[in-house]
Amino acid sequence: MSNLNRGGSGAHAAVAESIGKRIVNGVYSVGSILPNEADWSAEFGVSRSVVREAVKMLTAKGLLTSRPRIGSRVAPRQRWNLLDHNVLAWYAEAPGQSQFLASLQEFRHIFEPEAAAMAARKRTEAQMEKISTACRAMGSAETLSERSIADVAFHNAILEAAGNELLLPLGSLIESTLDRLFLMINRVAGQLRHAQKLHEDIEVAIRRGDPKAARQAVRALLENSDDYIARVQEMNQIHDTTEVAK
Amino acid sequence: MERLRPIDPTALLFEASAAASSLVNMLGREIVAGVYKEGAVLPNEAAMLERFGISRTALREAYSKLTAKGLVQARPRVGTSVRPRVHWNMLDHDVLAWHLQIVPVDEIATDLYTLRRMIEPAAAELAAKMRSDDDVKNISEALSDMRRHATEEAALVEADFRFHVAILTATHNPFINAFSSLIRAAMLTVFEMSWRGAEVIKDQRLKQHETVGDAIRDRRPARARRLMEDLLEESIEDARNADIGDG
Repeated sequence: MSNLNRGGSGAHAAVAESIGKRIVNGVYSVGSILPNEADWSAEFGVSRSVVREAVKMLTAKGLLTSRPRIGSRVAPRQRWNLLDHNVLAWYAEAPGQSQFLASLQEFRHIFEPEAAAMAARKRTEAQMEKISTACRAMGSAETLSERSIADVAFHNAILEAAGNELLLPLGSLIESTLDRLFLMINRVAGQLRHAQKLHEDIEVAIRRGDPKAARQAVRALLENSDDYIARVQEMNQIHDTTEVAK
Repeated sequence: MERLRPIDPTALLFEASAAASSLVNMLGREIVAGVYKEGAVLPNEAAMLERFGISRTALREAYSKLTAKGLVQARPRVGTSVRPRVHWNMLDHDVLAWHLQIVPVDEIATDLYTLRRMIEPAAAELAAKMRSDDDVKNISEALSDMRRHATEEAALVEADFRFHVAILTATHNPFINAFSSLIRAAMLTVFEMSWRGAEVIKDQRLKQHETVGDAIRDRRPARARRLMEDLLEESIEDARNADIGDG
């Protein structure tokens, strides 16, 4: 097993990642009692206090519950904080997650059009400026990663402009979807230009203070992503079949 | 005569961790309430130990919990400081609870209702398509508990919460699920409000819940959505009336 003892504050995050992935992948099943501090400390080659930090992190993310004397157990799935950036990322990589993007998109269809409509009604000038800046940055980005960062900023700025604090944590779901989409992006020609136009429609609708148009524009964007995901998955299947044929 | 306590290292750990969790509560509340501003560096370790009369272990334990909640960060040579609000994990049970204690209840209730009206009708529609037989059983058990405890506020609120969560669970979408478990604190606060002072319409409201359950059981998505929209709309009225009654 790899030695994670790199010292510094990164060590416990790396241990938490290893353990977190095993939980999400089902290597440790729900309700099972996990190895103790000493075992993990030996396996990862780190001190027990590093393991303890990692366990605390995972507890805060809802992946495990720990009690003195009994040790740690894997928490029931409903308690896992899937809105947490790390948990989302581990979850996205777990095998058997073909449903992952579909579920994310399903939820985005529920909250994003409405959030944009709220933003069209309530946005301040400063919030509008943030949305517009991100939209322009998307258009002028020279690399895919620059564009991806601007894209995430655009969606987060809309959530913020909706003026409902409870919406903000959902930004992590959008970010995770976009990360996944960007892994696929080169596959379909013309996709970027079209997507840019769809984002600009949203920006204009919010600027004009038109909730209906904003809602509609976000739906169009999400449907475009749905189509895109479906096409890429189709291509992957063809690709997989060819691989097998070789 | 005072009895000597057995020296049990686990017991000592227990004490440290109990002290830490009450410290987490105190500091967390102060940070959320703005006693320590965003970006501000917290008093140094010695000052904290003196103020709270706790051990260094307990203080560090508390800091690491607050760090996990996104409220503070420790930097070498600078110390522990309050992170900007955007990094706070608002859907963490504790953070949300501290927030609820300082924000005017009607403000958080408005935010929560807005969010519920965005999500729950769509979830009811989805549930009517996706529900398993177990889901139907959970929904109907929650409903009969609501009826049985119609006059006991705490049990009623719990059963009502269970009803709404069972519908969110019946969507079989893990993200909608995660969302429901995290807004628990906010929902309970608002539920208590919406039942208070609503005695007169309780029976009608109970029936309304049952019709939502029936639509999901009968796999009628459009009807489930519409009935859930009505239910939430009228719950808001209940809450407003309760507010007026109490104020």
